Amino acid sequence: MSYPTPATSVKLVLLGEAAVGKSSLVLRFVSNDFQENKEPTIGAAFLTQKCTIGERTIKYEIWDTAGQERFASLAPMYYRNAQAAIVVYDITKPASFIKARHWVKELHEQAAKDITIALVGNKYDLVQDDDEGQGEREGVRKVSVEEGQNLAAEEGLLFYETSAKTSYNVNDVFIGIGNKIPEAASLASSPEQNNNEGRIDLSTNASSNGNRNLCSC
Amino acid sequence: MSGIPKEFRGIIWQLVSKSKNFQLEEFYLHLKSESSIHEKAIKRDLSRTSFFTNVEQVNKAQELFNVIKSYSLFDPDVGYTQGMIFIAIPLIMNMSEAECFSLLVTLMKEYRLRDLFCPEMKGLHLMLYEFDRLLESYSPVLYNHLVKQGIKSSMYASQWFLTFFAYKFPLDIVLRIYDIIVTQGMESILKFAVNLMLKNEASLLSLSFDNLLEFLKDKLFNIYVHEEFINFKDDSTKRSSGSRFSLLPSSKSSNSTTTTGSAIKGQYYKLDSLVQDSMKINLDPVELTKYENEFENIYNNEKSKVDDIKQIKLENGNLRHKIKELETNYAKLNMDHIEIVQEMVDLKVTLPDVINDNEDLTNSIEQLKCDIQALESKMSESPSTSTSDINSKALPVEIENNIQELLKVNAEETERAVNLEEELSTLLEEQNTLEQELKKYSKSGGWFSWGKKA
Ligand SMILES: Nc1nc2c(ncn2[C@@H]2O[C@H](COP(=O)(O)OP(=O)(O)OP(=O)(O)O)[C@@H](O)[C@H]2O)c(=O)[nH]1
Ligand SMILES: [Mg+2]
Repeated sequence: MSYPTPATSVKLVLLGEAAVGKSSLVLRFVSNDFQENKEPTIGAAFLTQKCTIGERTIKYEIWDTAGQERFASLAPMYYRNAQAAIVVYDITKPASFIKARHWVKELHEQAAKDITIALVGNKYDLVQDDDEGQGEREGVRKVSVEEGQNLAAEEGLLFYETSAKTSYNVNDVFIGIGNKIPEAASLASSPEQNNNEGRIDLSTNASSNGNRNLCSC
Repeated sequence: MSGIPKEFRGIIWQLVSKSKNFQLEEFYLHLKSESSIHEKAIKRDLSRTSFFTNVEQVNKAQELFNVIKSYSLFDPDVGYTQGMIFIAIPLIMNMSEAECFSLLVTLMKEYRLRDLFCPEMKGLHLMLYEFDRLLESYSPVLYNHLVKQGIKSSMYASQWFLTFFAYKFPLDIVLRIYDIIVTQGMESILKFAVNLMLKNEASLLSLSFDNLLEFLKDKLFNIYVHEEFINFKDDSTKRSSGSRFSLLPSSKSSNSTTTTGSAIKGQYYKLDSLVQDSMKINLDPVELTKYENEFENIYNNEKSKVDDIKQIKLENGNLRHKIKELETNYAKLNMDHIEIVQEMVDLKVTLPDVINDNEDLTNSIEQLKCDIQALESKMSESPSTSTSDINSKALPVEIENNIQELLKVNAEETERAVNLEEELSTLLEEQNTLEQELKKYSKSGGWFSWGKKA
């Protein structure tokens, strides 16, 4: 193809325990901003952001869901026909990592078979040493890098540690996902098709498989 | 109709809802001192609700915490759900914490707000369904447009119902909505919701997915901004969507801007029109019951379908697991098989050699057996000769010594015998001589005779 490719839409959903920083990650990605006291999300919030990766322009259509367990019954509507998911946990909160495991499992069981999933351990700034050194503040981190990497390797996920506060690695998550989403899949789901109801989009199912092993970490 | 005066709001809400309950208030004082498993989450969310970082009444934060925590203890099935804080904020601003608790309990139980927050959130789904049906009947065009755009009411209206519009909308409006809910029941929130959609119909019809969601999130009330502020409209929308909890800031901003204009306090929004328009929406109880029944059917169908799907998926998963297991087993068996075949081929190749070797070895063994027998028979002879040899060497010394000794003794005895014979013969000679002498003497007369004895 010699003509410029039009922006392709990628439906993306954020999942993870309450207060791990889902909305903050989206805010950082979409507006390059951070709020010290981001309000809890009630229901879900929708945002979009374009992102250019090499030759391609991807328009992310992002559903930021509410993290509290009670809202879990609303989540399937958002991930059911998503092409990508970001499962977030807080590296200072072990319970949030357990919850992330559950989300990954649920996605594998219920979401589209070829969904691209990124596992993201957020709030990296909290474990960082103050004096810009490479070291980490001791005792703050509760989920090791290895635990995250292992889960990602087991389940075939992308893996990142991020900070919505310092913006560390945030864009990389979306670039990583964009790289992993096969061109065909994103082309197959034009915006119209995507927006059509919350039903399973078979066209995304049919395209591409076996990309799960391409872990960038 | 201008709503309940600010000073009496708290009291009137309590009176109308009949929430005043001394027993409950007393119980509250007891609950307040207990600890709840939801404490952390409540504290966390309170600190994230910038209402409290902005407001002068910071002490209300502690009161609000007490109320929400106590409710989580009072109703453990519901516990704490995000959204409750937003419901309770307008309450705590108008009454004491014990009264606030009592009214919250009343809203939850008597007004059935509880159904919205309970684990399956069935009440929320019912309300969304009723909203859809109402919208469909009031404006099929708008309803269809939204369906076409793939927008479901749960995507934007969940937060309206879960927080009585307090999540994203200005406090002035929220308080007026509370006035109506308390006096007319929870369903009246549907009137506000449908009215807002209808009043914004033209704008909504012109928008597509992304912009629709954006608009539905926090721009619906702009239509009720007082004409005098229309010039500032863009500015104020920015402000209210930019600041996190728009309950207070917007009323404040209206105050500051009105000083230049007509100076009607709190009249940034045409609240009376909002209420009047909303009340025109007719909620026929028969229709509502019909909707509820429909919903019940759909809900149950959906649920059994979901259960079925879950069951099937589970079975499917198990089967897939089994298949995988079988496949790996099969692969393993296949490998074993190949190995065994290979071994067999190897064996067949080496078998003649082995047979030859075997024959050679058998022969060798025969040979060896013969040798062994021969050796054995030799061995059985040699032991006796060797023993006699040993004896002939051991015994002779002794025996010869004995013999030598005996021979010596014998020689001595023989000598003695010879000597004795010589003595005897000498003695016999002497006797002869003596006899002759005797005869001579007897002839000459001798006294005795030896004759008889010879
Ligand atoms: N230090 C630090 N704080 C963060 C970071 N990301 C988010 N936070 C804070 O964590 C809190 C929760 O962040 P949110 O983005 O609202 O979390 P959420 O996952 O969207 O939560 P829910 O909407 O309740 O599911 C807020 O107070 C944020 O300011 C981060 O990278 N570092
Ligand atoms: Mg959030």
